[in-house]
Parts: sequence; structure tokens; C-alpha cells
Amino acid sequence: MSTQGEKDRLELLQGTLDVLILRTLIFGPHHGQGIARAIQQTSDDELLVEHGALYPALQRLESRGWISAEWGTSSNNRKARFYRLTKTGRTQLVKETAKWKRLSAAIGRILEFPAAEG
Amino acid sequence: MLWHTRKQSDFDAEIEAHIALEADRLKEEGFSEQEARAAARRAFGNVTQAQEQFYESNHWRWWDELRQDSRYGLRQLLRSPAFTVVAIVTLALGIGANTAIFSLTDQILLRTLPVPEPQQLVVLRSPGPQGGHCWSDIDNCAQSFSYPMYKALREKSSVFSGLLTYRAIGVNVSGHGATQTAQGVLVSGNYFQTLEIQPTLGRLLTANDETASGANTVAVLSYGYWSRQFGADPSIVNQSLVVNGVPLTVVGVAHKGFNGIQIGDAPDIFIPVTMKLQMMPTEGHPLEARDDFWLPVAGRLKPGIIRVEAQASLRSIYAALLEEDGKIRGAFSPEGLKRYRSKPLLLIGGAHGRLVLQQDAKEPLLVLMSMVGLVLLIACANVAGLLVVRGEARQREVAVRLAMGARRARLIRQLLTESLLIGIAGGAAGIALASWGIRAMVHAIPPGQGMLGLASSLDYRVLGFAIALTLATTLIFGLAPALRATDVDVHSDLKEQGSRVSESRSGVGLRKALIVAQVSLTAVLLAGAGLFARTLENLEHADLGVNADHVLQFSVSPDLNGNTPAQTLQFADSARREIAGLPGVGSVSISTIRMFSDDDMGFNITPQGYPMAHDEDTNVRATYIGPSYFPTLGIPILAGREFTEADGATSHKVCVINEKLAQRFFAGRNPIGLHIAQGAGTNVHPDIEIVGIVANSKWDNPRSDVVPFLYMPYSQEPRLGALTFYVRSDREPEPMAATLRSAIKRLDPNLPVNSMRAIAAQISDSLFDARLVAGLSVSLALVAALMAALGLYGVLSYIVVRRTREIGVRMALGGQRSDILRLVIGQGLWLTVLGGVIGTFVALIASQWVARLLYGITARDPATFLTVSVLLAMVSGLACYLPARRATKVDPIVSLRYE
Repeated sequence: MSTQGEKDRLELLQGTLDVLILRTLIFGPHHGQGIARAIQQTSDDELLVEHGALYPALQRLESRGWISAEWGTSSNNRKARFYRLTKTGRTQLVKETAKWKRLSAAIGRILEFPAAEG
Repeated sequence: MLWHTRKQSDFDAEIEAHIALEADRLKEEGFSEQEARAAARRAFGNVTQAQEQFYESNHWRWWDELRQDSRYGLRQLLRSPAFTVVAIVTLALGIGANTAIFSLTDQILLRTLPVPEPQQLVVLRSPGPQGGHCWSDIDNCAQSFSYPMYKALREKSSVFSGLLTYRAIGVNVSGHGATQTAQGVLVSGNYFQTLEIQPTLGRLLTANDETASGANTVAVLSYGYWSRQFGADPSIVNQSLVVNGVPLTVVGVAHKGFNGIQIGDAPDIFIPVTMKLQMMPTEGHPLEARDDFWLPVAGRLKPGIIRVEAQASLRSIYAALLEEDGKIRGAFSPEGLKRYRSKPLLLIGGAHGRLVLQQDAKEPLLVLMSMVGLVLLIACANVAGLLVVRGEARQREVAVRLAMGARRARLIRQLLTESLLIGIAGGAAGIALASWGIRAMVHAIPPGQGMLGLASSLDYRVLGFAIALTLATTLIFGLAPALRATDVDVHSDLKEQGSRVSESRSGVGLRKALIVAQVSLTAVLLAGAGLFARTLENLEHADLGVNADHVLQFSVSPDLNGNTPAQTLQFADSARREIAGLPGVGSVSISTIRMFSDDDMGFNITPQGYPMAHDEDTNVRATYIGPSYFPTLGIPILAGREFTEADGATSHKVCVINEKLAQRFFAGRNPIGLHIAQGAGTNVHPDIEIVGIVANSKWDNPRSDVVPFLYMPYSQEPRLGALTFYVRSDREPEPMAATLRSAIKRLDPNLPVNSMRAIAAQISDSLFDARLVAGLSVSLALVAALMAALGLYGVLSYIVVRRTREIGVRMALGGQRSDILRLVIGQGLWLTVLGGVIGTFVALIASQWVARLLYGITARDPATFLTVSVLLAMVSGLACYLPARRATKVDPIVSLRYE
């Protein structure tokens, strides 16, 4: 868990980070580092989130109005910028989730199609 | 969300917080302080990249760059103040002239009436026979209706939410001890409701104020009159004003800015139309007269009804009304009734009100708009030319910046920002110039030209126009030079900077094209200026047939103070005697219609022994005059005599005719002693004896043709009302005017004296439009010529500087000064000739379009076009010669050493 380079992690597909951020925020406000940790932990450390890439994504979501931000204090008393899911963000998440499920199911069906048959 | 922006520092703080939090977490897992921080940074990745990405996505960046560009641009402009000042002044002239002329055009031609839903308004028009008395300001009486016809249309038609009528009149208003003249307007009771005008104070007129002739003694004041004349005193409501001798109760004040439905009108008092007989005492026709066509009619269509539908639905109604009307009048033959009955009723769009002033003002305004437009184009070309030179001079800077990785779009934006700074400064100065110009123009409008109520300040519409113009201008003059300046081959430009032998590439080509454009536009403007200036000169020196020097004229309306025609006659006689006895007065006379004004009178005549063709139009113009009229105005008496005191109300009727009338109706006969009748038809008997013939003279204005004219003595005018006095005197006009005023005051202290003017000034007033067009076109053309000369001078000087080395080489190899002179002048001359030819060609075509505005010359007047060519050649010759002379002063040794 400590040395991240050792494990063979999955790189994030373009555009997936946005959905993951939205999903993470459904449990309540989080700061950037917390979001990065949460994605990594929830995916059982399968996904690699380069922390630096997180912020442009947050910036993008904020300017679209899907999340809102506010400076606050973290549990260990550090100042941090907390992100919160907005109402439009919530509906967006529902849409994006459905889309992802369909996509992954479709890809799954193709990949698991018994090639030898016929 | 648009302006949701974060500062970079805020973003940096967040990243800092992130790394600290991550480090904290790693420390908990047992890393040392140092290791934890390093690992956290590693996990974050590239901080700078994240920061840059943030910056790129941030709106502040755009703003930052604009500020940067502006600061940089400002520094660049301040570094070359001469360029900056010339560019700004050039643009200010162009934008200022356009804005000022646009303000006039907007007010007169473009703006709709300040009433709700103006596009629902229509004006009624019915061309065709009338067979009665008609009054008309335009359109040959087709827009005049009788009151009974108006009322019948109002009752029978179902397409209007309101149908109104109005008629402007002059009134005398007494109150607060003095009697003054004012602009009155007779209106139908539903006038304000139909137009949806709200009162500022009290109430406006209603249908209940139009009950019976003479019964509605109320009045509404316009906002302007109320504030000007009564200091906006709210206690005016329910007070009484004596208007034309009749006390009227003021019931309210109309909305601010409402000036009736005719641009150029500025009514002071609105009076119910039923007060006609009291307000127009010498008019003579009762309100219910069916043969008196005197009222313009306008209506508001019901929502959803379009003009064509309304016109169709009115067709049968109007035909029935005409039939009934014709039968009641009984004045028509069966054939005449059929023609009367089939008159159409047309609806003209009324969003701009009734178009009276527009008819005369439209062409001059469009010409002026085109001219100022051309000047602005020339200004743009000039500034663009200057920018191209700057672009050339800055090629190295641009090349360096491109080499350092600047994007071209970014550089173009930078250059456009600079142009925008020039544009904004020029636009601001132009707006200041325009606000001065529009005030000067509006205040220069003489009274009596039907151009009242024009605003002399710039409003938001005009400001919007000026700003849009500025931005468009910036783009026009800025874009091409910016594209050109950034189109740089980095390698060659950095290498061979400054050491080229001859000039090259499109920078100079673009400037030459600009010069040709400028010269040709200038040629067009000069041709226009020449034509209009000669027109004005011709008009000012037109032979009027009148000796107008040293003659003062003024008007009074004793009838509007309740005088009967007999009392007015007595007044006229005694006023004439009183004035004749004043010191300094040479002679004095009177006419009932004022010379060189919009007023006129005319009727058909039946000359004795004249074989009249069927339906022949024998219309002549006429006025009633007093004794010594012809000597006072310097009109020669050719035969017979003028009127004397002996030609009285009861003596036999006499008249004097002008030469034109004599030629038309008495060709080959001696008219003296023959008779004429007023009116035509089978039952008229020529009963007015011709006692004299006088020379032709013009009546309306210098433009008009001489027409057959009939003079009769005012003592024989049964409805004597308004009087205009003519006083010839060798005294200065100012003190003489004061003497005349007090003489009238001695006779009748309550009689207002109007329009005291020297006849020469009155004539000059009537040439106002010609003078405005000529004055503006000449100044614009001179500005254009100056700009073109500057442009030509600039491009040649530049070429000389660029070719210094080449010239040096030529001279070192034995080239003569004259060769060099020819080389440089030849370059400039070629451009001028090309531009001049194109411009003259365009002007020859365009001048046809203004032919109607010209007087005494043709649109292709050879002398004018020749003068323009010579002028253009002289100006450009000078502009070429100066740089050429400098070229001959090039010292070959210096120029070859210089590098």
C-alpha cells in the first residue's frame, strides 16, 4: 500500500475521472486529497489517480456548476478547499452512471463472447 | 457561472493544502517528515503543469492579456505621439461628422413617433378630384379631407381602434398681460386616446370635447410650451387663456416629448377641432362644409389587422360615402360624380407620422450621410496607411516575438488592441465633436422652415451608433495592417533587416492601394462639393425680380385678436400711414401673403376673351397688396398703373398682372382694360379690370420658377386677416425693427408682431438646406483632400526613406537630380491619376443621383469636374514634390555608408 509504483495499476480512461469525483462526493463534502484517496481506496487500489490531474478536473466541474467549493478545516485541522455536489451535479451523476453501466456491459459482452464457437 | 473566477493564489493555496494533507497521511503511516513531503509531491505529479492548466482555463487570463496588451499598446502609442495624434484627429473628424449627421437623419427619417405601437398608425390618402376649396402641405390635397367626411369615416369603418384628425394653425395667445403668437393645432376629441398619449398634468381631450361648433372651449398644452411659457407651474390647470380672442380653459398638459404626429412640428396648444370658426376666423368655411378639404386624417389599426386588409374593407364604405357626399353637395355633373365616387382611399404607413418635412429633407440628408460615410472611409484608409508603416517599422519586433514562440493570433490581437485604443480615443473625441456639431446645426435652422422640435443633444440611440461605428471602424482600419504586419518570414526578416536595396512586398502595395482608394473617394467628394457650392452660388445670385436690399418685413394677424375684416382694413390703412411718417422710412406697403415663405394662395381664373380648352388648368398664384407695393419691392411697372388709395372697398374691382400671366392668357393683345374673373366655369363673368402689368418676380424661393401672378388691392379682399408689411428704409435693420414694433404697439398694444426679418435674410433662410449641404460638403471635401494629401505624402516619404540606398547608388553612378525627381513624382502621380480617374468616373455616375438638388448647373457640369481635376492635381503635386525634393538632397556618400 505504501509504495504505489509497485502495483500494476489501471490508468484512468479519458473522462472517467469526472464521474468518479461526482460519485465520491455523493457521501458528503470532500477536499481534493480526500477525493483522491477515496477513489483509490474504493477501487481497492486498482485505479491510479495522479493527484495533479485531479485539480483541472475539479476546476472544470466547478465551472460547469456540478460541484461547488468552499474553504474549510480538515479533520486534522488543516485549511482545505471542500467540494460539494450541487443539484445539477447530482442529476448529471445519475445520467453519467447509467451511461457507464451500459458502456461497460456492452464492452464486457463483446470481450466475453466465446470466440471459438461457430 | 460566467464570471466565476478564482485567483491563481487561491489555486496555489489549495495545492499546498493538498500536499500537506497527503504528507500528514503518509506520516501517520510511519514515514519521516522529509520522506512524507517528498512522496506527497511525487504523488501529486507536475505542480507547474497543473497551475498552467488552471491559468489557461481561467477567465482572468483573457482579462490579464487585455490589460497587458492595452498597457503595451499605450506605451507604443505614446512613443510615437505624432502618429497617434494624426490618427486620433483623423478618426475624430470622421466619426464626429458621421454621428452629427446621423443624429439629424435619425430624428427626421429613421425614428418612429414616440407613441405606443407606432407601426399600427396609418395616414389616409385619397387622390382624385375634390371640386372645392382645399388646403394642402404636401401631396396636392390628396391628404386633406372635409370634416363631415372624416366624421363619417370614423363612424362607419370598423378597422380602426381610433381615427383622428388634426390641423396646425397659428394662434395669438393672451394672458399675463401680453399677447404672443404660438403654434396651435386643432384636433379631434379622440386624438390623444388614439395615439395613447398620457397626460403629465390634468386630463387630455376626449370625445366629449368634440360636441358642436364653438362649444368646446378647452385646451391642452404641450409639455414644452408649458415649461417654456409657464415655468412648469402646475396651477395652470383650470386657468383660462385667451386664444384668438376666445377664452379657453386649460384642462391638462400632454406627455413630455410628444410633438404631434408630424416631424418638424412643435405644437404648443391642442384645441378641439370644433373650435375651427373661432380659431381660423378668416377661413370662412363652416365646420360642416363638405366642399372644404382642410384636415389630414390618421388612424390606428386594430391589433392584427394589416394595411391591405383594412384598405380592402374600406373600399366599399368610402365609395358609398363619396356618392352620398357628392349628391348632398350637388356640385357635380353625372360624369363628375362618377369620377368623384371612384376616388380610392389608400392607407400609408404612419409609424413615422405624416411625412411632410421628410419629403424635402430626405435627399439632402441621404447625400450628407453618404458624404460623411466617404470621409470616414478615407479616414480609415489614412489610419490604415499609417498602421502599415508602423507595421513595417516593427517587423523585427514581430519577427522576434514569433521566433520566441508567440502565436500569430495572439500578436494580431495585440495589434488590434492598439488599434482599439486609437479607435476609442478617436471615437470619444468624435462624440465630443458631434455633440458640438449637432447643437450648432440645430441652432442654425432658421424659423419657418418646418423644422421645429429637433433635439440638439445626442441621445442613447446616437451614442450607440457612434460606439458601433467606432468598433466597426477599428476593425476596418486595423485588421488588414495587423494581418499584414504578422505575416512575417522569421528567417529572412531577422537576417536582412534594414539592408534591402529596393522596397518590396505587399506593405507598400497595400499602402498604394489605400492611396488610390483615398484619392478616388476624395475626387468624388470634391466633385459633390463643387456641384453643391455652385448650386448655392447660383441660388444666391438668382434673379428674383425683386430688389430686396434695405427692405424689412413683418407680419401681424389682427383677425386672430377678434378683429373683423372691416376693422382689419382700417388698421392696415392707418398702420401704413403711421409707418410712412416714421423717420428713415422710404416707402411702405402690405401684402396678405408673405413673400418667400411657405404660404401661398392660388385659384383658377377666367380671362376675358381667352379661348379656354375643356378642363384647362388656368391656375394662377395671387395676393392682395397695398399701394406702393411695386416701388417698395423694386418691381418695375411695365404698363398701366399700380394701385392707389382710390382703389377702395366699394370702387370697381381692379387687378395688376405679371408679364407671365399676360403672355399666357393675353398673347398678342393689350390686357390693360380687359377683365378677369376669379374661378372657372360657365357661370363666371370676368369683372375684375386689369389696370397694370408688372415685371416677373419669384415668389416662393430662388429655386422656384416664375408663375402667372395676379395682384389685387387688399381693400377689395372680403376676408382680410393676416397682413405682412414691407418697409424700405436706409436705416440699420435692428433699430428700424424696434421703431416699427413700437409703431404697431401704439396702434394696437395687444397685437403680436411676427417674423420681423430683412427680406434678404428671409430669402437666405429659404436656402438653408442648400447652404447646409454646400457648407458641409465643401468642408468635408477639404478635410478629405487634406487626408489624401497627407497619405500620399506619407507613402512617398516612406518610399524615399526605404530607397535612400538605391537613390544614393543611382546618384553615385551619375544619375541627375531631375531623374530622381521624376522617379519619385512619377510614382505618386501614377497613383493620383489612377485614383482621380476612378473617382471622376464614380462621381459622374453618382452625380445623376443628386441632380434634383442642383440649381443652374447640370450634374455633369464640365467646369466643376475640370476644377476638381486641377485641384486634385495641384494638391497631389505638392504632396509628391516635397518628398521628391528630399530625395534629390540625398548625399550618395552618406547613404552608402549608412547601414
